[in-house]
Amino acid sequence: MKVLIPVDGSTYAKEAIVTALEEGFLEEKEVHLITVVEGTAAGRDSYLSDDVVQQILDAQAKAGSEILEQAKGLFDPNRQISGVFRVGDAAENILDYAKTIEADFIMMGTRGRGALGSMLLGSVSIKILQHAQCPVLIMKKKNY
Amino acid sequence: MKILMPIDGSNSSKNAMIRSLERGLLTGNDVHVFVAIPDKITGRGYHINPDVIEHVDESFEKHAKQTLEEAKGIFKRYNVEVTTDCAKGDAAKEILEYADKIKADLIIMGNRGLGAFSKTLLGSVSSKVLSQAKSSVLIVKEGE
Repeated sequence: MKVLIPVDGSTYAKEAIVTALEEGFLEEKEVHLITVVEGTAAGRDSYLSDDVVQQILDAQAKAGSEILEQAKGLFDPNRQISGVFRVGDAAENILDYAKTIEADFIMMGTRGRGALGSMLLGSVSIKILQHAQCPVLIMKKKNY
Repeated sequence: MKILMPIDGSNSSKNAMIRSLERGLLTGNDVHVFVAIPDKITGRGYHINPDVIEHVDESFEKHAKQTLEEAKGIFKRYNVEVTTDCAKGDAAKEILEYADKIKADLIIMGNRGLGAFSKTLLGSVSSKVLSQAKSSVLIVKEGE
């Protein structure tokens, strides 16, 4: 069974993975991580020099791979975890990738980056929940 | 894993059951299917004939029984064991209390139930359960 986990370097995304591992949600699952860095230097190149654009792209790629490495570090080192990095709209890329790998479900934590304090789900999570063609698992640490 | 599936006889909840069974998400788990029966139409009683109230209560109970029977039939088709239960009261409150009682590890539900407006992403019951659940919640959407 394939599970897609979007990660953004936030503590919420990290906590979702830690909880899922503790509570057995990822046992015998094929885990795919995705991180999306929003925005692109393209289109601004009319007034940015090629060097600057390249610097931005490099910095984005570095940030993306750091986020993926950090998330992979939460798993057993012997476990095969795949990770992809994309630049662009987060929800769109996550949904697109879920379709590509035919994910059985997408797993997300509550409140990723950029949400209002009072909201359970961030804007990206809401968009994913709205448009996902597979079930969506909202991880919450068990609290009985 | 102890899984609670609140159902209400709607297409959304039927779809959630069938899709979860098809994807093997329920196999090998301790699954509890639960129906909340609307409570007596108290408060309105003073201008409604007691016979009518009794009739409404009876039909709610009949609907709950039919919904659970139908669920048992669906689970049987997929050879998955299921426990069924019901309680009277406010749907979200009863679902959350039942989850507490059985210490559910996961709640699986459809995104819309009976009597929900079609435009919002989650029905009022699903939305309340998602925000107040003390465990993870898997949302299974319809028509994908």
